[in-house]
Amino acid sequence: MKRIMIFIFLTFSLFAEELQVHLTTKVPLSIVYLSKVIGSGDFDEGYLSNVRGVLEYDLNNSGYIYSTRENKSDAVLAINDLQKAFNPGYWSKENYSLIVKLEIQNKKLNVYVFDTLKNKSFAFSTINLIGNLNADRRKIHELNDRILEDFFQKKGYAEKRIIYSVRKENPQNNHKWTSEIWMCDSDGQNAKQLTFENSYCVHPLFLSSKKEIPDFIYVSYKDGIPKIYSSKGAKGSKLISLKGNQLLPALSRQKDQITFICDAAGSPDLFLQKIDKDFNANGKPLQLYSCARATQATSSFSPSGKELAFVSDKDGSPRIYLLKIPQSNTNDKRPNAQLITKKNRDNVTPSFSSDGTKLAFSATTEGVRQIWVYDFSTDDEWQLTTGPGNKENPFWADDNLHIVYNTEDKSSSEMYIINLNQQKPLKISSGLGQKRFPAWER
Amino acid sequence: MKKLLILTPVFLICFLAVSCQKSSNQTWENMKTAGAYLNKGITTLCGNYSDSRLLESSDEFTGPGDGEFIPLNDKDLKAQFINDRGIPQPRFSPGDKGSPIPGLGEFKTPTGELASIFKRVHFGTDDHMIKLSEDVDVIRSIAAYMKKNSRVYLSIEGHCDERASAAYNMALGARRANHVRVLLIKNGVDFNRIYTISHGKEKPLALGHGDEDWRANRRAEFKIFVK
Repeated sequence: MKRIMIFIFLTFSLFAEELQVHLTTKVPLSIVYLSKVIGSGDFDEGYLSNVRGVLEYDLNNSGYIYSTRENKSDAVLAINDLQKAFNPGYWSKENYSLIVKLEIQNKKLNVYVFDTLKNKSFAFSTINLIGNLNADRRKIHELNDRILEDFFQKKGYAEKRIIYSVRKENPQNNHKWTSEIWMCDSDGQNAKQLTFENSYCVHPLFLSSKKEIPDFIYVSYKDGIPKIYSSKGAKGSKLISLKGNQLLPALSRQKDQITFICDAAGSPDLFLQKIDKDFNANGKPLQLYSCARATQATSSFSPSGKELAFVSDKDGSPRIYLLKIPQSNTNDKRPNAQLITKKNRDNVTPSFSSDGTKLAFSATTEGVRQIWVYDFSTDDEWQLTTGPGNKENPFWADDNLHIVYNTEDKSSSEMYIINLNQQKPLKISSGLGQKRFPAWER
Repeated sequence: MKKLLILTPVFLICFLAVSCQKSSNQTWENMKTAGAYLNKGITTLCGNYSDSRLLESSDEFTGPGDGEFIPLNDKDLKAQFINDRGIPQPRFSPGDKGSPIPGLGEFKTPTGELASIFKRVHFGTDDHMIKLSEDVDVIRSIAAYMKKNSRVYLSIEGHCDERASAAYNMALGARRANHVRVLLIKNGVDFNRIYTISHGKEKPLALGHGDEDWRANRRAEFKIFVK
């Protein structure tokens, strides 16, 4: 009888697929065992626990993974011999896709992994910690994205930063409203103020990535009339020489075009400005879209930079349209604008996904602005967020899965991240002020 | 001979009318202008009407033709805009290099007697048009003051209530400010002396969350600078 049971077990084991756990998600999550930081180095236990916490947070919010740990299994992993620590006989009892052992030696965080599908264990990475969590956490975010890419063939988002504006009322200055540009890590930590204009700065977008202090564009009211500025240079400089209000900029992924709203011609029209490799305006701006008695608003480039989704109220209430960006400067005919969003009347702030298959936007649904997703392949739109509180300014991460947005309520605005797999909003912002207009690093 | 004497002036009038005509729209605009001057009396023909002024170039009416952007020249855009036509912004932004006036920081909210002229005007929900008669009167009063005081420059701030999204309200605020600007220009104010700024819903006047607060916040405000 015992032999028959073993035979059945081994037979089924041969056909076992990747082990998965089903939580309240749209897709099953893979389980990863993530050990505590084993050993002793130059850092105290609390610090190492925080470092591990960063990786645990990143894995658990990746949209693909659920991580776990227990003291008993950590004791097994503490064995110096990697073959014994990753003994398949022990680890196959649980449904882990990957076992990650974190080990500290002096200031080095060694990362060992056991890929249960390939039955292979090896030293995966070594990270030099410096003891400053703000700096070290960025290395952990990169580690998370490498794990996702190497073992799950998924693009991560953790190492990408978010730029946004923080609006505050100053009771000491005649209740003057100010808004400055800030930047934080993908988990909302490591927040840094980037502008100090004591003015009103909104709608920031990254121009460069990876740099410690990145280049970015933003709208500033520092000279009275709002204009689009580039952060390059000591105090920032006007990017586009065009009179009137310059509002709501959008940047192509190739970083060679900017669209924005401007009333240079006397009404809020959609304009297009080419930019060169040094992020300077290249040629004259083009009045891309104008319509009688209509207000045009936020736009978003398709990944190819050849199409543009934008808001217009030309047919009544604000809706989202799609147009093909003309390739020539002969501007005798308004581009044809195709209506995309049809389910709700009030649709604003579109954002293309990186693969161009989806568009996130904010739509008023039963009196509350919610985040919706339009799927180009099915021509269908569906509601992503629910519950009270207006949600707006969605911005898609490069992994095509995560969306950052801000709430906009009477007294506060906070930033949240949601992913299409888990669909559970995660608040990432904290501290004073209204955090708004978030955008991912690209 | 008599017939010739009658027909010659008729022919001349017809000739002049046809030769000056560029489009049916322009003819209609010309007729309206002529009608306005007939109402003002014969003194206007002698240049004594105070609202009259000499246009030094076609730019003063059509806006600066400095070609700083490539305009959309769609035919239907030109035809449909007659009643709600945007008028290009002044040639220079305040404080810019070459601008005759300093930055908008020097523009102040009118006080004293002027405060009764430069009163706020209000808008309907998601609307950019001035519709209340008292607001139309405010526009007329401001226009009259601006015409009499050619050294006064005006900034119009467009504001919105809190209900629509922050981004859309940015554009709507611009729409509102520009509508007020067009009304002032139609009332004879030099377009080069009027600037617009959109604040969307970023600078609420009333901090409550009821109908009256929203109404108070859907507004255009005025600031002036005397050169």
